[in-house]
Amino acid sequence: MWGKKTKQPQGSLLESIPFTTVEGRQAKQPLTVFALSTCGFCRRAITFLNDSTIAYRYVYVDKLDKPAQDAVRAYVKKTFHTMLSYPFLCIGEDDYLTGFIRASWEKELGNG
Amino acid sequence: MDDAKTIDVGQFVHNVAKNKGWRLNGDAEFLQSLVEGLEMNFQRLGYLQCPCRLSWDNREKDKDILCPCVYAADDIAEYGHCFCSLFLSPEFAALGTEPASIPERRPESLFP
Repeated sequence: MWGKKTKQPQGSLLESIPFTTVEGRQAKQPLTVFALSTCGFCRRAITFLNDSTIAYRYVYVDKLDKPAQDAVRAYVKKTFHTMLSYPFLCIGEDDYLTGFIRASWEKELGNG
Repeated sequence: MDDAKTIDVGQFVHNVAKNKGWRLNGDAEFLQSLVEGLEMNFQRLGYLQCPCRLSWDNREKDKDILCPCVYAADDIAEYGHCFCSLFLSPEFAALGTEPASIPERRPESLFP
């Protein structure tokens, strides 16, 4: 069970998180964005995804209560072994982008 | 409207930029989103916490990320703009290139 290809999904940490789901064409991996409602780059990232007509879900972490914020942080730490800074795009559970750098997001998501 | 706590954030960021020799982000919509983010944080917390980082909801623990944060000068010197891209160096502003997210300079140990 500890083999390198049997990564334990951490999704249960996110069970109580009230994501907003945006319909669209399916990406290769499910996309989840952790954002702050107050942050300019987060707004840009969400506009970018909306313009790309790709399916994703997002949540504004600053609008969550403390236990839910802790759960999101724990999920990112356990799944991606990095700290949570915003915006944070989860690409499935194997890859992520942190911060909004347009060229990086285009490269990662451009072909959907 | 609760007008017990009001602050002119647009004037505040203008004054900071003027006093520090920085420029405000030239994208009016982006700038407005950050001003609104700071206003939101002021309403929530009673202080002008960085809109691009999650708060401890504790002024003492957030003291290094009160706007302008203690990391802004170094980020502006190194990357041409602060973490939020609210404040730009005159040189970066003159280039007219779209700012992108930069690495987080705040140590992970200081985050919630």
